[in-house]
Amino acid sequence: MPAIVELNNVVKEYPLGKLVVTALHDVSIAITKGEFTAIAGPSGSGKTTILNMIGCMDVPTTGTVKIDGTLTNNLDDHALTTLRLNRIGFIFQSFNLVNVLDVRQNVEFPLLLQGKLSSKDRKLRVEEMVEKVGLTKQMTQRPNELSGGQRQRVAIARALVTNPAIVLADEPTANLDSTTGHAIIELMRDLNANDHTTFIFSTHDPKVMERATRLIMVADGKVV
Amino acid sequence: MSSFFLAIRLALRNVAAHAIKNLVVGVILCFGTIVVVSGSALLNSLDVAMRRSITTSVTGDLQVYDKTARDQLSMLGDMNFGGSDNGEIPDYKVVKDALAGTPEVAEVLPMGIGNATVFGANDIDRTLEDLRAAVRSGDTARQTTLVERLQRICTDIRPELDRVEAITNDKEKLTEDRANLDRVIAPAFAAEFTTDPMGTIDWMDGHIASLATDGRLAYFRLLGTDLPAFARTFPRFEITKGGPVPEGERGIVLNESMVEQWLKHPIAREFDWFQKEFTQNGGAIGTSGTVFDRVARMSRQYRRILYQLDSEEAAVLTPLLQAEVGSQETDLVALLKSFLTVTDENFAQRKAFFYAQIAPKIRLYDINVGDTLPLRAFTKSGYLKSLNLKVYGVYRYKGVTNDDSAAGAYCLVDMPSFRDLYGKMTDDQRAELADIKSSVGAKEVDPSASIEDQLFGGGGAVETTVSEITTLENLDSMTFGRVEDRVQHTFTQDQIENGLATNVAVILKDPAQGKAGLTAVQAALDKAGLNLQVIDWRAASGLVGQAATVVQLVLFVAVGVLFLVAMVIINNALVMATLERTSEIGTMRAVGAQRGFVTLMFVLETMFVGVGSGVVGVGIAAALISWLHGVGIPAGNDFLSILFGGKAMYPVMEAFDVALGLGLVTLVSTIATIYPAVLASSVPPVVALQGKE
Ligand SMILES: Nc1ncnc2c1ncn2[C@@H]1O[C@H](COP(=O)(O)OP(=O)(O)O)[C@@H](O)[C@H]1O
Ligand SMILES: [Mg+2]
Repeated sequence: MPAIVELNNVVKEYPLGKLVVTALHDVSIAITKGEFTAIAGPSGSGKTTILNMIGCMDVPTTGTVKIDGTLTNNLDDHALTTLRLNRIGFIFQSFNLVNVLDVRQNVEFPLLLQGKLSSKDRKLRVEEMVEKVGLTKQMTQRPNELSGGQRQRVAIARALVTNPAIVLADEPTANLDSTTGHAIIELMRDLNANDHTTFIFSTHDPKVMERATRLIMVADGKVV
Repeated sequence: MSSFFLAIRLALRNVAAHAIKNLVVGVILCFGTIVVVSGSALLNSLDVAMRRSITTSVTGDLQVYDKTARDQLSMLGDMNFGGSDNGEIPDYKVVKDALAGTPEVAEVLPMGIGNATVFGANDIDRTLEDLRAAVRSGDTARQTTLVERLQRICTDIRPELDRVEAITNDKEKLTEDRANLDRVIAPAFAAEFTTDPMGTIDWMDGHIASLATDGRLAYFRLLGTDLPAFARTFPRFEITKGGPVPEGERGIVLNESMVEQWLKHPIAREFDWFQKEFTQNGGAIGTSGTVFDRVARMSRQYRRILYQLDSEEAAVLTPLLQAEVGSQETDLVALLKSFLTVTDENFAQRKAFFYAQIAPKIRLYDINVGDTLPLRAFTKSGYLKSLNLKVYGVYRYKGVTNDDSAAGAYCLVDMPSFRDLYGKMTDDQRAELADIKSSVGAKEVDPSASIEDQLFGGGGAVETTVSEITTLENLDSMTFGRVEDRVQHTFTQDQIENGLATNVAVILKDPAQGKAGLTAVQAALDKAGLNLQVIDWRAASGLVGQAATVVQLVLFVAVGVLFLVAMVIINNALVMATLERTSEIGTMRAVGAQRGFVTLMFVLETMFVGVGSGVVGVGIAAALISWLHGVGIPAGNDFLSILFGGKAMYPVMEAFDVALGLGLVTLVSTIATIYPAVLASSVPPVVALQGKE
């Protein structure tokens, strides 16, 4: 089976004044479709930077990133954005919902950007996703009316609504209590099991790592 | 497409979510829109009113004048106050013929702008003049009252000489003056007069007249024109006293504002001025300030009444004044002084009394319809020329109140008289002059020599048949009706048209097509090889037109500043909003929104605020303008009534004003959004992953 994500000798450097911070040293990772991968490591080890590379938010200083067969190195901002919109779903540590939109509209957001579905199909798809994360009753509520766990469920629905090849989650449970966090990981695990969506998430929580089918440990910008 | 609607939805949501910020921005933009829309409506209404008023009063739609003129032609007031050089058009007929085939032109009218002065006679001069007439007609009763009036004037002047004593070195002259006055005051003078009336009058002319306060110098702005054609062409021209100058005859028609301002009796003018001050500016005499000072000065001007009263009139007035001021005083001087001591309480009563009892007994106006005016002007060739013209009437521009401004206050004279005062001679006149010169052996006048040289030099005055070149002696003794008239009294239409003009008014068939008309007229003049320029009424109106431009400029600057401030505020508010929303923008970018989407979202947000407040602003401006349309904007003075073409302006709002307001407000808010929107669109998607909530 071909790798859906392929990082080869990725180095990422950040200029910091006169200094250069090297966030990733020669990282090579290959992830196969359908995996439920945890990237684990202490704070500052480079987990978010790896997710940035995979999520096409940024390009490596040297080395290559291949997402679903596409090399990202030479893509411009517009192409990277299109790639993110169509192939990748994002779940963030701080949920990052659009505050002025309600649950339905937040979930609908990527579909509207895509502009592929008719409004009827869009409605059905949104309702299906909201039901999957169990928020049908909260459909018309705004993010500030929801609990942390509920918000993260909205984020999961938003990440999955476009049927992406990969879903990335950067410490999705870090802002949640352990029970809620656990429930969120279980939800993601279910979606992975049922729809075979590839999940890659970062965490420094050993309990969360346990749930992964594959574990990549990083420390000081290197895979260990 | 769906992403466009998403951007709209987000923009609308953001407008609501950031209500306070958008309210501040909205109020500023709304205010800006009100200023733009109502300002534009007012200016356009003013423009329409001005065009209607000015083109139908004096300028016509276009004015033609000398291309080589040093100054710009300005018919309604200029910076040089009559000293401007507008060049000249040697022969009006040539211009008329050149424009005859231009289809845009409805009418052309010759004009000549010039100045003249008239020395008003002093009270002794006038009385002596009347006395002469009374002697000639043998009216002895009238002679007696006039002599008595002279005696009263001299009695009043006598103490003045004591005051003069302190400041003069010429004691000899003073002694002589005292003796002369005493001779007139003496009871025996009446008998003395009857023995040699004319001789006594001449003696008084030489020895007494100069002791009275000088008569006033009146300044006339003259507009020479084809008078009957002028009256036909300018519908606002309206004779209010007397009548028009008969066709083909010489004469002058005075301007009502000019008459009120310069020729009215000073005390009447003071009463009028106070009245205006009270009713218009809500002033009161009070106990200090300009009005108080002027009121205080009025009682010292009792002579202006006293010197014009006969003994009979004085006798009639004395008991009336006693009743009016509530005093048993019998001395008329004391009575007049106390009558002219005006307070807030007695003002209305005193003014009414003045107009009812005193005005009919004095000369309310220095010059009246029927008088012959000795106009004097320095001609272009340097002569001082005088010309007697009969005053046929007084005119005004319809709808213009007479007040204190003299914009457009021309006194209208016939074309030949204008030319005489202007000083250019026709060939006929030149030939005739040469004839006379050779017959009387007069000295050729060198136009380049100074006036003094011409007046004093070479001995003997130079005379022309056109009018009199005044020597210094007769300049001094000049009074009404005494300048010998040698002018040709009647003339033909050809004589009006053949000859010099300073400018030509052009009336267009379609005044709305001013630009096309101007081009056509200029082309016709160029084709005829005439070195003349054409300007529109706005340029021709001079200061008035410039005033409108200044108002426009002020509004323009005000709007500019207002919108600049608005732009800075919008820009700051949006930059702050961008910083606040970095995480949200980053999330949108991460999730797949392009840069353009973010930009669009921001631009739409301010556009909604802009258009929203613009619409509200237009609504408020519309209400304001329609209210003003109902009540009218009063023209506080003559200048404004010329601009407004009436006592008030009734502004209207047009689609253009609305479009301008909405267009500007949208433009301004869009420009103000460019920087913050670019800033927002450059938020990198990675911030979403760094975001803290
Ligand atoms: N934009 C950046 N500029 C400079 N240094 C950065 C930037 N992003 C990350 N780093 C540095 O790279 C290293 C890895 O960071 P990160 O990937 O966020 O670690 P983790 O997610 O495991 O906590 C850290 O030392 C961090 O300070
Ligand atoms: Mg991290």
